[in-house]
This record gives sequence, C-alpha cells and structure tokens, in this order.
Amino acid sequence: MGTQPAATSGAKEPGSGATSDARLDRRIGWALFAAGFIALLLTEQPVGFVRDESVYFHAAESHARWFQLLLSSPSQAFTDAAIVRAFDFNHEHPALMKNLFGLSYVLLHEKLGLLRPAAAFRVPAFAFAALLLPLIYALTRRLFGRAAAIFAAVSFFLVPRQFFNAHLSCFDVPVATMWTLVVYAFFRAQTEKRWWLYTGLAFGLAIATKHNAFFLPVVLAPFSLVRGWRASKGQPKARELFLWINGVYLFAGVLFLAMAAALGVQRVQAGYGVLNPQVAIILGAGVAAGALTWQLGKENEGAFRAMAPLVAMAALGPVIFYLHWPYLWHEPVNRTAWYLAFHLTHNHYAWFYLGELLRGPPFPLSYVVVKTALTVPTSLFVPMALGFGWVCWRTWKRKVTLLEVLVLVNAVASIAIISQPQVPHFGGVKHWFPSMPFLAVLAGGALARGAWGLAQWLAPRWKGATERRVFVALAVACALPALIATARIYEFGTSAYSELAGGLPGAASLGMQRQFWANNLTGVLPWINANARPGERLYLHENHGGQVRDYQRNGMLRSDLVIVGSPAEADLVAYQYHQEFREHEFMTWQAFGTTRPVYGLYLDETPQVVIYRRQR
Amino acid sequence: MSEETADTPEGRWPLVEGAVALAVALWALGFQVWLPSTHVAESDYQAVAQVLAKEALPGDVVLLHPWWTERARIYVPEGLPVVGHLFSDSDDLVQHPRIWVLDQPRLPRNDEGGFEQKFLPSRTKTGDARDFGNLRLTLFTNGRYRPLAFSARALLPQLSVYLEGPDGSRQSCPWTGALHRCPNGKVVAAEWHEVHFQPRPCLRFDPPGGATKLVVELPPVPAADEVVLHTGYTWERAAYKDGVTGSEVGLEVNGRVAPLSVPAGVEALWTVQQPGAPEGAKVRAWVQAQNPHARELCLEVYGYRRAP
Repeated sequence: MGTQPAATSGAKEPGSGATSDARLDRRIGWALFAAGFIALLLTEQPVGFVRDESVYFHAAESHARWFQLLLSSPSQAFTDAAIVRAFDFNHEHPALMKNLFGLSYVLLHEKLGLLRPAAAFRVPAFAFAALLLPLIYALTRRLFGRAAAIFAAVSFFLVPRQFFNAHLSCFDVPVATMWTLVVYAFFRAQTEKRWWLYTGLAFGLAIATKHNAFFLPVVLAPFSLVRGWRASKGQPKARELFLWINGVYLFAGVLFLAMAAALGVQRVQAGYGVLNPQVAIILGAGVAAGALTWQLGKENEGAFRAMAPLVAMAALGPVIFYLHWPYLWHEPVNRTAWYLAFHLTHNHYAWFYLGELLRGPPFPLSYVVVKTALTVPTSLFVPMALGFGWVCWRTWKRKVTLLEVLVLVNAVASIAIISQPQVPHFGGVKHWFPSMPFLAVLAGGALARGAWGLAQWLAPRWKGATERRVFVALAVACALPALIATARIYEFGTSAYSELAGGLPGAASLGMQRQFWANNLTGVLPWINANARPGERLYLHENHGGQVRDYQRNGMLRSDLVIVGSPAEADLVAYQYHQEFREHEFMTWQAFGTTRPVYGLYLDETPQVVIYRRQR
Repeated sequence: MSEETADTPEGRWPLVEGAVALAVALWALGFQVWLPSTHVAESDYQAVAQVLAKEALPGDVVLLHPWWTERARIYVPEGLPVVGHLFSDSDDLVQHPRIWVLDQPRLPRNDEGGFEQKFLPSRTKTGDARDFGNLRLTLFTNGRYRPLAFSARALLPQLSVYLEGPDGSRQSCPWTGALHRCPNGKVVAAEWHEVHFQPRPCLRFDPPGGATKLVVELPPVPAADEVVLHTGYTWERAAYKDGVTGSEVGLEVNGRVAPLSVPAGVEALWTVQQPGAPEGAKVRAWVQAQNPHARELCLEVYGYRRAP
C-alpha cells in the first residue's frame, strides 16, 4: 500500500512503459467500444419506437433514397427540387445522423437482409453511443487512472435512461458523444500538434448532429482566451496577434450588427449570395483569423495551441454544417435561419413535476438538478456529486488542473443551459445528456479516491484490503444496483427513477412524469396481438401513424388490426397514462361505458399503458 | 494550472468519499432487491375482489392509496366505483356512506401519515384492516356523507335545456333520446370529463357565446338542505390564457342566484352552493361566455339532505 492512490495517479511514465501503457489504453478503449456496441445490439429488440424515432426513420429512409439517386442520376440529385423532396421532411434537425440511419437501413436491411428494419436504422446510433465509452475512458484515465476510467465509462450505460436512449435512432446520445469528442480534442489540442484541426472537424460534425453543440464555443472560448492571454504574456508580438484574432471576430460581429440595424434583419438574411458584403465579412474574418493564428504559431506555440482550436471551430464548423446537409445547398441562409428559429421558439409541452403540471415558463430553477437526482441511480449519482464537490474544492484551493476544470465546466454546462427557466423542459433528462459523460468522469474519480481512502483505513485491520481489491469491491457495489435497475426497466427507459425517488412507485407518489414518448406501448403489444379480434378497431393513444407503421413492419403489431383516431371509433383502446392526458382515459370510459380496464402495463405497480375493451 | 493531474488526496476526504459511496451503494442494492417484493400478486387482487363482491353495499366506494394504484380497477367488481386521482386523498366522497380503502402500505413513499391526515377526519374505521399480500383493505364509515336528494345528471331526460338571450327569449334544446341538442349545434349530454385531473361524471355544458346563456332547468325537485354546483373547464382548456374569455355561471333556486365566475387560465374545480331548496323548487343553472372558443364546461348540480 503506497501513500498515494495508484488509481488516481495520472502522471505519464517515460520510455517504453508509456508506449505499452498507451497500447493497453487503446485496447481497453476498443474493448469498451465493442462491448458497448454489442450490448446495445443484443438488447435492441424490446425497445419500442419513440414518437420522434419513427419520424427520423421516415426522414432517414428519404435521405437514403436521395443518396441512391445521387449514384444513379447525379445531375438530378443536385437539383433543389430533388433535394427538397428528400430532405424537406423533418428539416428541423440537421442531416448527419439521419443520413447514417438511412444508409445503414439500406445496407443492413434492404441489401444484406442482416437486421430487421428498426435495428438496421439504429446501428449508427449504437456506434455513436458506444464511442462515448472510450471517450469517457480516455478523459478519466488521464485524471484518475485506469480502473476509475473503466468504471466511469461503464457507468454511463448503467443509467437506465441513458442506456435506453442509447438504443434510439435519435440525436440526444450522439450529440453527447460529439460534445465529449470536441472537448477531448480541444484538451489534446492544448499540448499536441494537429489536434486543433481535429477539434474543428469534430465541432463541425457535432453541430451536424444536434443544435446543443452550438453552445460548445461558448463553453470552450473562455479557456482559449485565458490560456492565450497567459501564454502571450511578456511577448508583445504574440500578444498583439492574439488581440488581433479576437479583434477580427469582434469587428465582424459589429459589422453584422451594424448591417442588421441599418438594413433590417430580413434584408440582411435575404441578401446572401455568392458575392455580397455578408459573405465577404464571413470569409474575410475566417481568412484573416486563420492567417493571424498561423502567424501566432510562429511567435508563440502556447498561444497558438490555445487559440487554434477555437479558430478551427469557427472556420470549419459552418463549412461542415453546410456541406453535410444538402438541404442547405441552394438556400443556405434562409433554411439555416428557419432551423435556428425553430429551436429558439420551440413549443412547451406539459410536464408533470412534483405534483404540478408545468405547462409553460418560468420553470423551476432546480428542475434539472432534481430530475437528475431522481433518475440517475443513487449509487452513481452520489459519487458524481462527491466528485463534483472534490473538483470544486480543488478549484477553490487553486490546485485544479486544466482537464479537471474542463470536466467540471462541461459537467455543468448543459445542466445550466437547460435549467434556465425559459428553456423548454419536456423530454425527461435527454436534453442535458452532454453533461452526463463528464459527471461520469467525476464519479470515477470519487470512486478511485474513495477506494484509496477505504484501503488506507482498512489496511491496518485487514491485510487483504489492497487498494485494487477495495476499488473492485466498491465499483461492483456501486454498479450492481444500477445494473439491476437498468436490466429491469431499460426498455421502458423514460419511466426509470432512482432509489432516491423511491423507484417508479416513489416517483408516482412524488408526482413525477411517469413516462413520455409513447414507446411503453411495447409492454402491451403481445397482449393486443394475442387478444384482439380479427380486424378489430384499435386506438393507440399517443402513438402516431409512423409508430404504427414501424411496429407493423417490424412484426410487433398485427397488420389486420384497424387503427383509428379516437376512443369513440374504437373497440380496443391502449391509453398511455400521462397526467396531462387524463381526459383521453375518461373519453374512453365515456365511449365504452365502463371504467374497468381489461389489461395494462403496470411497472412496479404504476399504471403506464391501460387497455380498455368496448362492452358488447 | 497543470495540464493533467497527479492527485494526492488530502485529509480524511477520500475515506469519507469511500464510506459514503459504499453506504449508499449498499442501501441502493438493498432497495433494488427489495422493490419487487412490493408487487401485488394477481391472486391478492382477486381475493380482495371476492371480499368486495360479498360485502360491499350499494353506495359504497373504493378509495385507492396511493392514489395512482389504479391496477385495482381491473379487479374491483363492476358497479362499485373506484376513486383514485391526484386529489382523492382529500375527496369528501360525499355521496358514499361507506369507503373501502385499498392501501399498498409497503410501497416506497407511501406516506401513510399524510394520507391519514387528509382522509381520517370524520371517518370511522369499521372492523379490522385485512391484509391480502401487499394489499390492505379497510372499511370506513364516511362522516362526510350526505344523502343525495337529486342530481341534474340523473335527471337528464327530464331536464329543460334552452338558450336564453339577454332579452329573455328562449330557444329550446330538445331531448333526442340520448342528449339535448341545441339550435347552435352544441349538445348537453351526460359524459365523463377531466376537470383539474379528476374524472367527473357531469353534463357537458358549452356556453353559446356573446350574451346568450345556456340554461338547464331541473324538473320540480325533492327537498334538499343544500344545492351544490361543481364546474370547470374540461381537460387542458382551463389552462388556456390567450384567445379565450372567462365564463359566468349561475345557480338559481326559486329565483335566488348564486353567481360564480370561472376565470380563464386557472386550472381548478369550481363550486358554488345554495343553502337549500324546498320540495318542488325551481332549480336552474346557466353558463355564459363572451367568447365560446375552448369554453367547454363540465357541470354538476346536486341536492343534498343532511346526514342522518
């Protein structure tokens, strides 16, 4: 037993040891990726299709048809009419993930017949989710050692809502992956060559994944500015270049504001073309900042490494965003403006929280933190909180490292953004998923220190209590309850609640949203398939036509059943319990002349999907 | 600030971290292992159903605790009402002389104390609680019970329903055999609706718009010591704030009016009372809203006698 924790030692060793260490880390990273991917593939089938996912399936298939057109008739494919036909549907989200979902579907289902349609669509989502594990490993490894890193990585999948979301052809887990990748690249760019370029590329892909990533520059810029300022201290030429780079962006921003004030936003927006002042400002700023950064690299490597990732993000991000999404090719500005406006003015959906139905802002400031505490398994949440406290304390004591601060800030960033009371609060926890990998890193650190502390205390009392054994015991103890919870409920992931909440029954008594996104229907589909009369009229509350299509084409719902739009038209109703939709259940009572269901999905006794049959 | 860390934990913090993490993990593990033991076996529900089928009397009601344990609805004998909604712990259940409380005391966050605080006043336990696995069935006499003298919903076919203009002119909404259909196309019918998350068996009662009122007039009623009107906008309509107006509701007994304003944007069940109605009294209820958009009301009128 040493005097400092082996698990927390992050210092790199010199010589061949470092090389073999790196090799081992790479192997562990690949193993985590493979294990994560296989785990998702093997557990995919029971996961129902959430409302959004069926929309993305449809959009993905449409994108894939365009790629097929691109191969067969490129000149036609490049026309705006062909692009709009393929990409107009669901253009409120960028195309990267949907392109991948669609291509995967064509290859793995249509061409090779290896997977059912849903699984084929979902494979890219599995890959993105699995990639998160080595990324968490890599970050934690640098801070807290190998064992902590493995725990941190695995723990991300032991949060039932995260494991559930990792299955979906949606964007919430992929953007968490891309966010983490950008931060990882940004960190490495501070000390290693070329990583400034990777940061820019990763950022471009991140904003092509989901709009959360637009906040990344806001989160990372302060690091660049502080480090650039410090690195250029005492070097007038480097300081001058540093200030000029900032001045270029500031000046470009002022010019845009002045144009908007003078001409009006509409005119500036409508006036984009190949050669006009707006484009000139953007290109000019990019070229000037790039050239200045290049000059800075010759003067001061530290300042260059601080600024180059940010400049690369500013330059490459918009280019990749534009190039990846054919929908923007003919109408870049108006369509981007529409896309951004859509998310800036998003609807508020009703959301049940602590016995109150929240219908609109202002939302409680504590909502995100409380919801996280009530949904992340407590045996993982507490280490996250301890790890967070530890880094805060080190920050206070000015002992903190760059990576620790990066992890801390990114653990807080998405949570802080969504906590803003005017931001839409529906969607459970998925909107602040980009915080969760960083909280997992902090949890890994807490476990490593905790194991060391316990081993120190136990060693005089029990010789077998080595740090490694104590760590394994502690990690298993923390992981096991989360694993049990995940195994029990992951397929109904939007219903998962932590021990702190009292599980799902405790959450129901607390007055929390019991489910959303309508995928819990899978819990009653076997009963419907077995008990519905041939050709019976079925009302699937909260499920739209796309979901019905997907259940039927994946063999999960009988195709002879007639899907109708209301209880009044139905013989059989599957009502999804939502506090905001009670009227739909009572409409069923009214239509069927009974208040007595015939079957239901009751998770830990909580009603989720309730089936009524018309009395004959 | 160094690039990476080579941490040396300080003081007792690592031990505290380890001990807290371990203690929480063991507690969480215990919880996860224990939670399935709180589930209710189907046979236990069936045993409860047999007791209710044998012992329940007309007018009885089953109250669920926790309020959301509605799986019981599958098993409770048809005809015996089951009450379980967000506010049902404090529901007076005024029309039911006896209450069967079906409890699941082992569920996490069951909050027996909170339930008893709301439920027990004026209720008396009758006999012992009976356990069926994780279910507990207890019969109470309801001290808040008031015998029902009349109900507008029960009198639906005999109701006189009409639109009344500001000048007193009337347009009848004739009975079709199932509902009253008004000249403006709207209907007055006996329906289930949600008002502030509660299932209410009521009259659908939509104001026609402008100064015109929708009026329901009961046939001569039996004597009642209190006449009560409950109303509210159905479903989420109560939450609407834009493009809607409030509604004015009135409860008249022999020309004496008890007015009620039902504002827009407030989710609630609204109540207004009259002190009593003599035998054969003329009881009317009406609604008026300047803008009829999304003003769908659920209306109940009851006459109660004093408890025996």
